[in-house]
Amino acid sequence: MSKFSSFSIVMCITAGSYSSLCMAQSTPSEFAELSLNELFEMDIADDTAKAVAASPWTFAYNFKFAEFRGYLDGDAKRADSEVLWQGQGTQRSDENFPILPTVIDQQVHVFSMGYRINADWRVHASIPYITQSTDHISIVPDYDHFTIDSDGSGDAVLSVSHRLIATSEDIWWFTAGVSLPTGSIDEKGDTPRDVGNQQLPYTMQLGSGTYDFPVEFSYQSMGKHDFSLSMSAMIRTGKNDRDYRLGNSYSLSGTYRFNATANIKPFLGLAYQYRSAIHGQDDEITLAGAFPYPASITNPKLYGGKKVSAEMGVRWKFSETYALSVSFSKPIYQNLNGPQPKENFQSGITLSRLM
Amino acid sequence: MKEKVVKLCKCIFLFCVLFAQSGHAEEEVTKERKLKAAYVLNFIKYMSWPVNSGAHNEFRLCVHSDEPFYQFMQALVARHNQGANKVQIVIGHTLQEPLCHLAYFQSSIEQSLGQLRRAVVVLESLDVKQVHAAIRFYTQAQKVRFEFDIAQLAKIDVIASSELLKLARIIR
Repeated sequence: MSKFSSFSIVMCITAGSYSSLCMAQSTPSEFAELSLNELFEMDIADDTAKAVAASPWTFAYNFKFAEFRGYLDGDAKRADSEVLWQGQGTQRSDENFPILPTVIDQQVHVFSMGYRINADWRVHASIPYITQSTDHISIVPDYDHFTIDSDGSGDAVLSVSHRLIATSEDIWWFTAGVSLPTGSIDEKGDTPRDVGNQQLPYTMQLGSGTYDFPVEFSYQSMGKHDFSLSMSAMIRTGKNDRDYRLGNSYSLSGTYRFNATANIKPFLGLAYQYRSAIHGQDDEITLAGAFPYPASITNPKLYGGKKVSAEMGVRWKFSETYALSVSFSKPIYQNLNGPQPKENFQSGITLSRLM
Repeated sequence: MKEKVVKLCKCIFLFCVLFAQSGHAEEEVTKERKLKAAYVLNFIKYMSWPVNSGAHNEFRLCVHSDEPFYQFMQALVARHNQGANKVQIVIGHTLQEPLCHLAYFQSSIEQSLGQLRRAVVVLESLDVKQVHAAIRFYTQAQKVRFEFDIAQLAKIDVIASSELLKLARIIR
Protein backbone atom coordinates (compact mmCIF):
# COMPACT_ATOMS: atom_id res chain seq x y z
CA MET A 1 0.00 0.00 0.00
CA SER A 2 2.84 2.36 0.70
CA LYS A 3 4.16 1.74 -2.77
CA PHE A 4 0.77 2.43 -4.24
CA SER A 5 0.56 5.72 -2.39
CA SER A 6 4.03 6.75 -3.41
CA PHE A 7 3.37 6.04 -7.05
CA SER A 8 0.04 7.86 -7.05
CA ILE A 9 1.67 10.88 -5.56
CA VAL A 10 4.56 10.81 -7.96
CA MET A 11 2.19 10.67 -10.92
CA CYS A 12 0.13 13.44 -9.38
CA ILE A 13 3.24 15.55 -9.00
CA THR A 14 4.27 14.75 -12.53
CA ALA A 15 0.88 15.75 -13.85
CA GLY A 16 0.85 18.81 -11.69
CA SER A 17 4.24 19.80 -12.94
CA TYR A 18 2.99 19.93 -16.51
CA SER A 19 0.78 22.85 -15.78
CA SER A 20 3.34 24.64 -13.69
CA LEU A 21 6.02 23.96 -16.26
CA CYS A 22 4.00 25.87 -18.74
CA MET A 23 3.93 29.14 -16.87
CA ALA A 24 4.90 31.70 -19.40
CA GLN A 25 6.55 35.05 -19.54
CA SER A 26 5.95 36.65 -16.20
CA THR A 27 7.69 40.00 -16.13
CA PRO A 28 6.63 43.14 -18.00
CA SER A 29 9.95 43.08 -19.87
CA GLU A 30 9.24 39.63 -21.23
CA PHE A 31 5.76 40.64 -22.36
CA ALA A 32 7.04 43.88 -23.90
CA GLU A 33 9.38 41.92 -26.13
CA LEU A 34 6.72 39.65 -27.62
CA SER A 35 6.10 40.11 -31.30
CA LEU A 36 2.66 40.25 -32.87
CA ASN A 37 2.94 36.72 -34.19
CA GLU A 38 4.20 35.38 -30.87
CA LEU A 39 1.26 36.97 -29.10
CA PHE A 40 -1.12 35.50 -31.63
CA GLU A 41 0.18 31.99 -30.89
CA MET A 42 0.19 32.32 -27.11
CA ASP A 43 -2.33 30.56 -24.99
CA ILE A 44 -4.18 32.04 -22.07
CA ALA A 45 -3.81 28.70 -20.33
CA ASP A 46 -0.02 28.91 -20.47
CA ASP A 47 0.41 25.80 -22.56
CA THR A 48 1.79 26.53 -25.96
CA ALA A 49 5.29 26.29 -27.20
CA LYS A 50 5.62 30.03 -27.04
CA ALA A 51 4.24 30.12 -23.55
CA VAL A 52 6.80 27.88 -22.00
CA ALA A 53 8.70 29.22 -19.10
CA ALA A 54 11.83 31.26 -19.21
CA SER A 55 13.41 28.67 -16.95
CA PRO A 56 13.23 25.03 -18.00
CA TRP A 57 13.34 23.84 -14.37
CA THR A 58 10.40 23.12 -12.13
CA PHE A 59 10.15 22.05 -8.55
CA ALA A 60 7.26 20.57 -6.65
CA TYR A 61 6.65 19.41 -3.13
CA ASN A 62 3.71 17.21 -2.26
CA PHE A 63 2.56 16.09 1.15
CA LYS A 64 -0.03 13.36 1.26
CA PHE A 65 -1.72 11.75 4.21
CA ALA A 66 -3.73 8.53 4.00
CA GLU A 67 -5.61 6.61 6.64
CA PHE A 68 -6.71 2.96 6.50
CA ARG A 69 -9.27 1.83 9.04
CA GLY A 70 -11.79 -1.01 9.18
CA TYR A 71 -11.91 -4.15 7.05
CA LEU A 72 -13.47 -5.23 3.78
CA ASP A 73 -13.78 -8.70 2.28
CA GLY A 74 -14.82 -8.05 -1.29
CA ASP A 75 -17.17 -5.12 -0.83
CA ALA A 76 -18.58 -6.48 2.46
CA LYS A 77 -17.58 -4.88 5.75
CA ARG A 78 -15.95 -7.03 8.39
CA ALA A 79 -15.94 -5.90 12.00
CA ASP A 80 -12.58 -5.89 13.78
CA SER A 81 -14.01 -8.46 16.21
CA GLU A 82 -14.70 -10.80 13.26
CA VAL A 83 -11.17 -10.52 11.86
CA LEU A 84 -9.46 -10.90 15.24
CA TRP A 85 -9.21 -14.53 16.30
CA GLN A 86 -10.42 -14.68 19.91
CA GLY A 87 -8.06 -17.49 20.94
CA GLN A 88 -8.42 -21.03 22.19
CA GLY A 89 -11.99 -22.29 22.15
CA THR A 90 -12.95 -20.28 19.06
CA GLN A 91 -12.71 -21.34 15.43
CA ARG A 92 -9.46 -20.32 13.70
CA SER A 93 -9.65 -19.92 9.91
CA ASP A 94 -7.90 -18.22 6.96
CA GLU A 95 -10.08 -15.18 7.62
CA ASN A 96 -9.23 -14.47 11.23
CA PHE A 97 -5.90 -13.71 12.84
CA PRO A 98 -4.40 -13.40 16.33
CA ILE A 99 -2.99 -9.96 15.47
CA LEU A 100 -5.11 -7.19 13.97
CA PRO A 101 -3.93 -3.85 12.55
CA THR A 102 -6.66 -1.33 13.42
CA VAL A 103 -5.43 1.97 11.97
CA ILE A 104 -2.71 2.48 9.36
CA ASP A 105 -1.50 6.05 8.87
CA GLN A 106 0.80 6.96 6.00
CA GLN A 107 2.43 10.30 5.36
CA VAL A 108 4.41 10.80 2.19
CA HIS A 109 6.53 13.82 1.32
CA VAL A 110 7.45 13.82 -2.36
CA PHE A 111 10.13 16.13 -3.68
CA SER A 112 10.27 16.34 -7.44
CA MET A 113 12.14 18.25 -10.09
CA GLY A 114 11.39 18.59 -13.76
CA TYR A 115 13.39 19.79 -16.73
CA ARG A 116 11.92 20.90 -20.02
CA ILE A 117 14.15 19.79 -22.88
CA ASN A 118 11.88 21.47 -25.43
CA ALA A 119 8.17 22.02 -25.94
CA ASP A 120 7.55 18.32 -26.57
CA TRP A 121 9.91 16.57 -24.17
CA ARG A 122 10.30 16.76 -20.41
CA VAL A 123 12.14 14.74 -17.81
CA HIS A 124 11.27 14.36 -14.13
CA ALA A 125 12.88 12.95 -11.03
CA SER A 126 11.23 12.46 -7.67
CA ILE A 127 11.98 10.92 -4.32
CA PRO A 128 9.42 10.24 -1.59
CA TYR A 129 10.02 10.30 2.13
CA ILE A 130 7.57 8.00 3.87
CA THR A 131 6.44 7.94 7.49
CA GLN A 132 3.96 5.30 8.55
CA SER A 133 2.54 3.83 11.69
CA THR A 134 0.15 0.98 12.38
CA ASP A 135 -1.87 0.48 15.56
CA HIS A 136 -2.61 -3.12 16.48
CA ILE A 137 -4.61 -5.18 18.88
CA SER A 138 -3.79 -8.83 19.53
CA ILE A 139 -4.48 -11.80 21.77
CA VAL A 140 -0.75 -12.22 22.48
CA PRO A 141 0.10 -11.45 26.13
CA ASP A 142 1.84 -8.07 26.59
CA TYR A 143 0.90 -7.10 23.03
CA ASP A 144 -2.80 -6.44 23.47
CA HIS A 145 -2.29 -2.90 22.09
CA PHE A 146 0.89 -1.91 20.28
CA THR A 147 2.08 0.39 17.48
CA ILE A 148 4.74 -0.18 14.86
CA ASP A 149 6.40 2.68 12.97
CA SER A 150 8.71 2.90 10.00
CA ASP A 151 10.08 5.82 8.06
CA GLY A 152 12.65 6.66 5.43
CA SER A 153 13.07 7.43 1.77
CA GLY A 154 11.02 5.42 -0.71
CA ASP A 155 11.66 4.46 -4.32
CA ALA A 156 13.01 7.22 -6.57
CA VAL A 157 11.27 7.65 -9.92
CA LEU A 158 12.81 8.93 -13.14
CA SER A 159 10.46 9.61 -16.03
CA VAL A 160 10.24 11.15 -19.47
CA SER A 161 7.14 12.86 -20.89
CA HIS A 162 6.40 13.39 -24.55
CA ARG A 163 3.70 15.64 -25.91
CA LEU A 164 1.93 13.55 -28.53
CA ILE A 165 -0.70 15.98 -29.79
CA ALA A 166 -1.16 19.69 -29.16
CA THR A 167 -3.92 21.73 -30.72
CA SER A 168 -5.76 24.82 -29.57
CA GLU A 169 -8.42 22.49 -28.15
CA ASP A 170 -6.48 19.74 -26.41
CA ILE A 171 -3.11 18.29 -25.45
CA TRP A 172 -2.08 14.64 -25.11
CA TRP A 173 0.97 13.54 -23.14
CA PHE A 174 2.63 10.18 -22.70
CA THR A 175 4.89 9.54 -19.72
CA ALA A 176 7.08 6.53 -19.10
CA GLY A 177 9.62 6.01 -16.37
CA VAL A 178 11.46 3.71 -14.08
CA SER A 179 11.03 3.35 -10.34
CA LEU A 180 14.32 2.44 -8.72
CA PRO A 181 14.43 0.12 -5.67
CA THR A 182 15.90 2.77 -3.36
CA GLY A 183 13.32 2.26 -0.59
CA SER A 184 14.04 -0.27 2.13
CA ILE A 185 12.31 -3.67 2.20
CA ASP A 186 14.13 -4.67 5.39
CA GLU A 187 12.28 -2.51 7.93
CA LYS A 188 12.13 -4.12 11.35
CA GLY A 189 10.14 -3.58 14.51
CA ASP A 190 8.97 -5.23 17.72
CA THR A 191 6.09 -7.53 16.87
CA PRO A 192 4.44 -10.32 18.94
CA ARG A 193 6.06 -12.86 16.62
CA ASP A 194 9.20 -13.01 18.74
CA VAL A 195 11.27 -11.04 21.23
CA GLY A 196 13.24 -8.07 19.90
CA ASN A 197 12.89 -6.65 16.39
CA GLN A 198 11.67 -8.71 13.48
CA GLN A 199 11.02 -8.16 9.78
CA LEU A 200 7.84 -6.08 9.32
CA PRO A 201 4.99 -6.92 6.93
CA TYR A 202 4.65 -5.52 3.40
CA THR A 203 2.61 -2.46 4.42
CA MET A 204 5.40 -1.21 6.67
CA GLN A 205 8.16 -1.47 4.05
CA LEU A 206 9.27 1.69 2.25
CA GLY A 207 10.01 0.37 -1.22
CA SER A 208 9.10 -2.39 -3.63
CA GLY A 209 12.58 -3.87 -3.94
CA THR A 210 12.07 -4.27 -7.67
CA TYR A 211 12.57 -2.19 -10.78
CA ASP A 212 9.11 -0.93 -11.70
CA PHE A 213 7.84 0.99 -14.70
CA PRO A 214 5.24 3.74 -14.40
CA VAL A 215 3.42 4.76 -17.61
CA GLU A 216 0.69 7.33 -18.17
CA PHE A 217 -1.43 8.74 -20.98
CA SER A 218 -3.00 12.06 -20.12
CA TYR A 219 -5.42 14.34 -21.90
CA GLN A 220 -5.94 18.01 -21.13
CA SER A 221 -8.83 19.93 -22.66
CA MET A 222 -7.91 23.45 -23.66
CA GLY A 223 -11.40 24.43 -24.73
CA LYS A 224 -14.18 26.17 -22.86
CA HIS A 225 -14.30 23.44 -20.20
CA ASP A 226 -11.15 22.80 -18.21
CA PHE A 227 -10.86 19.08 -17.61
CA SER A 228 -8.25 16.36 -17.83
CA LEU A 229 -8.28 12.59 -18.14
CA SER A 230 -5.51 10.20 -17.25
CA MET A 231 -4.81 6.53 -17.72
CA SER A 232 -1.84 5.20 -15.80
CA ALA A 233 -0.22 1.98 -14.74
CA MET A 234 2.64 0.76 -12.56
CA ILE A 235 4.16 -2.35 -14.07
CA ARG A 236 6.40 -4.31 -11.72
CA THR A 237 9.02 -6.80 -12.77
CA GLY A 238 10.96 -9.71 -11.29
CA LYS A 239 11.10 -10.45 -7.59
CA ASN A 240 12.99 -8.65 -4.87
CA ASP A 241 15.57 -10.07 -2.47
CA ARG A 242 12.77 -11.26 -0.21
CA ASP A 243 11.23 -13.27 -3.02
CA TYR A 244 8.10 -11.26 -3.67
CA ARG A 245 6.81 -8.59 -6.05
CA LEU A 246 4.12 -6.02 -5.25
CA GLY A 247 1.06 -6.11 -7.50
CA ASN A 248 0.69 -4.05 -10.66
CA SER A 249 -1.74 -1.17 -10.47
CA TYR A 250 -3.86 0.42 -13.20
CA SER A 251 -5.95 3.54 -12.90
CA LEU A 252 -8.30 5.80 -14.80
CA SER A 253 -9.01 9.27 -13.51
CA GLY A 254 -10.72 12.48 -14.54
CA THR A 255 -10.68 15.98 -13.07
CA TYR A 256 -12.90 18.95 -13.84
CA ARG A 257 -11.73 22.40 -12.82
CA PHE A 258 -14.09 25.29 -12.27
CA ASN A 259 -13.14 28.86 -13.08
CA ALA A 260 -14.00 30.50 -9.77
CA THR A 261 -11.54 33.33 -10.41
CA ALA A 262 -8.56 33.74 -12.68
CA ASN A 263 -6.25 32.28 -10.03
CA ILE A 264 -8.42 30.01 -7.93
CA LYS A 265 -9.76 26.82 -9.43
CA PRO A 266 -11.82 24.40 -7.36
CA PHE A 267 -11.86 20.91 -8.85
CA LEU A 268 -13.73 17.66 -8.63
CA GLY A 269 -12.33 14.32 -9.66
CA LEU A 270 -13.19 10.68 -9.95
CA ALA A 271 -10.70 7.81 -10.11
CA TYR A 272 -10.92 4.08 -10.63
CA GLN A 273 -8.02 1.87 -9.61
CA TYR A 274 -7.30 -1.82 -9.87
CA ARG A 275 -4.36 -3.36 -8.07
CA SER A 276 -3.36 -7.01 -8.10
CA ALA A 277 -2.23 -9.05 -5.10
CA ILE A 278 1.40 -9.54 -4.11
CA HIS A 279 3.23 -12.26 -6.02
CA GLY A 280 5.53 -14.52 -3.98
CA GLN A 281 6.00 -14.25 -0.26
CA ASP A 282 8.39 -13.00 2.42
CA ASP A 283 8.82 -16.19 4.46
CA GLU A 284 10.39 -14.29 7.35
CA ILE A 285 7.02 -12.82 8.39
CA THR A 286 5.15 -16.14 8.42
CA LEU A 287 4.83 -18.84 11.08
CA ALA A 288 5.18 -22.58 10.86
CA GLY A 289 1.96 -24.61 11.10
CA ALA A 290 -1.49 -24.79 9.60
CA PHE A 291 -2.07 -21.03 9.86
CA PRO A 292 1.13 -19.31 8.74
CA TYR A 293 -0.21 -15.74 8.74
CA PRO A 294 -0.33 -14.02 12.17
CA ALA A 295 -2.06 -10.96 10.67
CA SER A 296 -3.98 -10.30 7.46
CA ILE A 297 -1.26 -7.94 6.24
CA THR A 298 1.28 -10.80 6.29
CA ASN A 299 -0.74 -12.76 3.71
CA PRO A 300 0.33 -11.66 0.18
CA LYS A 301 -3.00 -12.80 -1.27
CA LEU A 302 -4.89 -10.30 0.89
CA TYR A 303 -3.64 -7.32 -1.08
CA GLY A 304 -5.10 -5.55 -4.07
CA GLY A 305 -8.61 -5.04 -5.35
CA LYS A 306 -10.72 -2.36 -6.99
CA LYS A 307 -11.46 1.10 -5.76
CA VAL A 308 -13.44 4.12 -6.97
CA SER A 309 -12.58 7.40 -5.26
CA ALA A 310 -14.12 10.84 -5.40
CA GLU A 311 -11.85 13.81 -5.00
CA MET A 312 -12.37 17.48 -4.33
CA GLY A 313 -9.89 20.28 -3.96
CA VAL A 314 -8.77 23.70 -4.98
CA ARG A 315 -5.75 25.00 -6.85
CA TRP A 316 -4.62 28.49 -6.02
CA LYS A 317 -2.13 30.10 -8.37
CA PHE A 318 -1.00 32.76 -5.95
CA SER A 319 1.69 34.22 -8.19
CA GLU A 320 3.05 33.77 -11.67
CA THR A 321 5.48 31.16 -10.39
CA TYR A 322 3.77 29.46 -7.48
CA ALA A 323 0.67 27.32 -7.17
CA LEU A 324 -0.76 25.63 -4.12
CA SER A 325 -3.17 22.75 -4.44
CA VAL A 326 -5.13 21.18 -1.60
CA SER A 327 -7.16 18.02 -2.13
CA PHE A 328 -9.23 15.48 -0.26
CA SER A 329 -10.35 12.13 -1.64
CA LYS A 330 -12.48 9.35 -0.24
CA PRO A 331 -13.29 5.97 -1.72
CA ILE A 332 -16.95 5.63 -2.65
CA TYR A 333 -16.61 1.97 -3.57
CA GLN A 334 -13.99 -0.63 -2.64
CA ASN A 335 -13.85 -4.31 -3.50
CA LEU A 336 -10.76 -5.76 -1.85
CA ASN A 337 -9.06 -9.13 -1.67
CA GLY A 338 -9.90 -9.49 1.96
CA PRO A 339 -10.20 -9.34 4.75
CA GLN A 340 -8.05 -6.29 4.10
CA PRO A 341 -7.79 -2.85 5.77
CA LYS A 342 -9.80 -0.37 3.71
CA GLU A 343 -8.79 3.13 2.81
CA ASN A 344 -10.68 5.71 4.81
CA PHE A 345 -9.47 8.91 3.10
CA GLN A 346 -6.49 10.66 1.55
CA SER A 347 -5.64 14.32 1.68
CA GLY A 348 -2.78 16.26 0.23
CA ILE A 349 -1.07 19.55 -0.41
CA THR A 350 1.06 20.31 -3.43
CA LEU A 351 3.24 23.34 -3.80
CA SER A 352 4.76 23.81 -7.23
CA ARG A 353 7.02 26.51 -8.47
CA LEU A 354 9.30 27.36 -11.31
CA MET A 355 12.98 27.63 -10.58
CA MET B 1 -6.61 11.83 13.57
CA LYS B 2 -7.01 15.25 15.22
CA GLU B 3 -3.23 15.59 15.44
CA LYS B 4 -2.91 14.86 11.72
CA VAL B 5 -5.46 17.51 10.79
CA VAL B 6 -3.67 20.05 12.98
CA LYS B 7 -0.39 19.09 11.30
CA LEU B 8 -1.96 19.53 7.85
CA CYS B 9 -3.30 22.96 8.80
CA LYS B 10 0.12 23.97 10.08
CA CYS B 11 1.65 22.98 6.74
CA ILE B 12 -0.89 25.05 4.80
CA PHE B 13 -0.27 28.02 7.06
CA LEU B 14 3.50 27.69 6.71
CA PHE B 15 3.34 27.63 2.93
CA CYS B 16 1.02 30.61 2.82
CA VAL B 17 3.32 32.63 5.07
CA LEU B 18 6.43 31.62 3.12
CA PHE B 19 5.18 32.16 -0.36
CA ALA B 20 2.15 34.44 -0.37
CA GLN B 21 4.20 37.62 -0.09
CA SER B 22 6.26 36.92 -3.17
CA GLY B 23 3.19 36.34 -5.26
CA HIS B 24 0.97 39.12 -4.03
CA ALA B 25 2.12 41.94 -6.27
CA GLU B 26 1.51 40.16 -9.54
CA GLU B 27 -1.50 38.13 -8.58
CA GLU B 28 -4.20 40.44 -9.79
CA VAL B 29 -3.25 40.70 -13.46
CA THR B 30 -4.08 37.53 -15.31
CA LYS B 31 -2.04 36.27 -18.19
CA GLU B 32 -4.93 37.04 -20.55
CA ARG B 33 -4.85 40.70 -19.55
CA LYS B 34 -1.06 40.83 -19.78
CA LEU B 35 -1.31 39.56 -23.32
CA LYS B 36 -3.83 42.28 -24.12
CA ALA B 37 -1.44 44.87 -22.72
CA ALA B 38 1.34 43.48 -24.92
CA TYR B 39 -1.01 43.60 -27.91
CA VAL B 40 -1.66 47.29 -27.25
CA LEU B 41 2.07 47.97 -27.58
CA ASN B 42 2.08 46.11 -30.87
CA PHE B 43 -0.96 48.02 -32.12
CA ILE B 44 1.01 51.21 -31.64
CA LYS B 45 3.89 49.73 -33.65
CA TYR B 46 1.73 48.47 -36.49
CA MET B 47 -0.62 51.43 -36.93
CA SER B 48 -0.06 54.86 -38.46
CA TRP B 49 -1.55 58.04 -37.07
CA PRO B 50 -1.90 61.25 -39.12
CA VAL B 51 1.23 63.40 -39.22
CA ASN B 52 -0.54 66.34 -37.61
CA SER B 53 -1.77 64.24 -34.68
CA GLY B 54 1.49 64.58 -32.76
CA ALA B 55 1.65 60.79 -32.29
CA HIS B 56 5.02 60.57 -34.06
CA ASN B 57 6.74 62.75 -31.48
CA GLU B 58 5.08 61.65 -28.31
CA PHE B 59 2.45 58.96 -28.38
CA ARG B 60 -0.20 59.39 -25.72
CA LEU B 61 -1.63 56.15 -24.44
CA CYS B 62 -4.64 56.50 -22.16
CA VAL B 63 -5.81 53.68 -19.92
CA HIS B 64 -9.06 53.31 -18.04
CA SER B 65 -8.64 50.21 -15.90
CA ASP B 66 -7.98 48.92 -12.45
CA GLU B 67 -4.68 49.85 -10.85
CA PRO B 68 -2.85 46.50 -11.25
CA PHE B 69 -3.44 46.51 -15.01
CA TYR B 70 -2.47 50.17 -15.25
CA GLN B 71 0.76 49.49 -13.40
CA PHE B 72 1.53 46.52 -15.64
CA MET B 73 0.87 48.64 -18.75
CA GLN B 74 3.06 51.34 -17.26
CA ALA B 75 5.90 48.82 -16.83
CA LEU B 76 5.49 47.64 -20.42
CA VAL B 77 5.66 51.22 -21.68
CA ALA B 78 8.76 51.87 -19.60
CA ARG B 79 10.40 48.83 -21.16
CA HIS B 80 9.32 49.97 -24.63
CA ASN B 81 10.75 53.44 -24.09
CA GLN B 82 14.08 51.96 -22.97
CA GLY B 83 14.46 50.14 -26.27
CA ALA B 84 15.44 51.47 -29.67
CA ASN B 85 11.90 52.45 -30.59
CA LYS B 86 11.38 55.64 -32.54
CA VAL B 87 8.16 56.58 -30.83
CA GLN B 88 8.21 57.45 -27.15
CA ILE B 89 4.99 56.55 -25.36
CA VAL B 90 3.47 58.55 -22.55
CA ILE B 91 0.91 56.69 -20.49
CA GLY B 92 -1.82 58.33 -18.42
CA HIS B 93 -5.24 57.81 -16.93
CA THR B 94 -7.92 58.50 -19.54
CA LEU B 95 -9.92 60.88 -17.37
CA GLN B 96 -6.83 62.96 -16.56
CA GLU B 97 -5.22 63.22 -20.01
CA PRO B 98 -5.95 66.14 -22.33
CA LEU B 99 -5.23 64.07 -25.45
CA CYS B 100 -5.25 60.36 -26.27
CA HIS B 101 -3.95 58.70 -29.43
CA LEU B 102 -5.05 55.29 -28.21
CA ALA B 103 -7.40 54.68 -25.29
CA TYR B 104 -7.81 51.32 -23.58
CA PHE B 105 -11.01 50.60 -21.66
CA GLN B 106 -11.48 47.85 -19.13
CA SER B 107 -14.90 49.33 -18.39
CA SER B 108 -16.92 52.01 -20.09
CA ILE B 109 -17.14 55.74 -19.36
CA GLU B 110 -20.55 57.19 -20.06
CA GLN B 111 -19.75 60.88 -20.42
CA SER B 112 -18.44 62.27 -23.69
CA LEU B 113 -14.71 62.96 -23.50
CA GLY B 114 -13.00 65.48 -25.78
CA GLN B 115 -9.63 63.75 -25.40
CA LEU B 116 -11.03 60.70 -27.20
CA ARG B 117 -12.14 62.62 -30.29
CA ARG B 118 -9.25 61.36 -32.45
CA ALA B 119 -8.33 58.31 -30.39
CA VAL B 120 -8.28 54.66 -31.37
CA VAL B 121 -10.58 53.19 -28.75
CA VAL B 122 -9.64 49.66 -27.65
CA LEU B 123 -12.03 47.61 -25.50
CA GLU B 124 -10.80 44.87 -23.18
CA SER B 125 -13.65 42.55 -24.10
CA LEU B 126 -16.83 42.34 -26.12
CA ASP B 127 -18.72 43.03 -22.88
CA VAL B 128 -17.40 46.57 -22.65
CA LYS B 129 -19.58 49.12 -24.40
CA GLN B 130 -17.92 52.36 -25.41
CA VAL B 131 -18.73 54.70 -28.26
CA HIS B 132 -16.33 54.98 -31.19
CA ALA B 133 -14.67 51.65 -30.38
CA ALA B 134 -12.30 50.57 -33.15
CA ILE B 135 -10.71 47.45 -31.62
CA ARG B 136 -12.29 44.86 -29.35
CA PHE B 137 -10.53 41.94 -27.70
CA TYR B 138 -12.18 38.58 -27.34
CA THR B 139 -11.01 35.04 -26.57
CA GLN B 140 -11.30 31.99 -28.75
CA ALA B 141 -9.93 28.52 -28.02
CA GLN B 142 -7.90 29.84 -25.10
CA LYS B 143 -6.24 32.54 -27.19
CA VAL B 144 -6.60 36.31 -27.23
CA ARG B 145 -8.08 37.57 -30.49
CA PHE B 146 -9.23 41.00 -31.63
CA GLU B 147 -11.63 42.54 -34.09
CA PHE B 148 -11.12 45.74 -36.05
CA ASP B 149 -13.79 48.23 -37.06
CA ILE B 150 -12.22 49.52 -40.25
CA ALA B 151 -14.82 52.24 -40.74
CA GLN B 152 -14.13 53.67 -37.30
CA LEU B 153 -10.40 53.72 -37.99
CA ALA B 154 -11.03 55.48 -41.29
CA LYS B 155 -13.01 58.20 -39.51
CA ILE B 156 -9.94 59.18 -37.50
CA ASP B 157 -7.49 58.64 -40.38
CA VAL B 158 -5.57 55.86 -38.66
CA ILE B 159 -4.19 53.12 -40.85
CA ALA B 160 -3.57 49.59 -39.67
CA SER B 161 -0.78 47.63 -41.35
CA SER B 162 -1.52 44.53 -43.38
CA GLU B 163 0.37 42.40 -40.81
CA LEU B 164 -2.08 43.52 -38.18
CA LEU B 165 -5.19 43.21 -40.33
CA LYS B 166 -4.44 39.66 -41.38
CA LEU B 167 -4.61 38.59 -37.73
CA ALA B 168 -7.80 40.50 -36.99
CA ARG B 169 -11.45 39.74 -37.45
CA ILE B 170 -12.62 42.60 -39.64
CA ILE B 171 -15.88 44.46 -39.07
CA ARG B 172 -16.90 46.72 -41.91
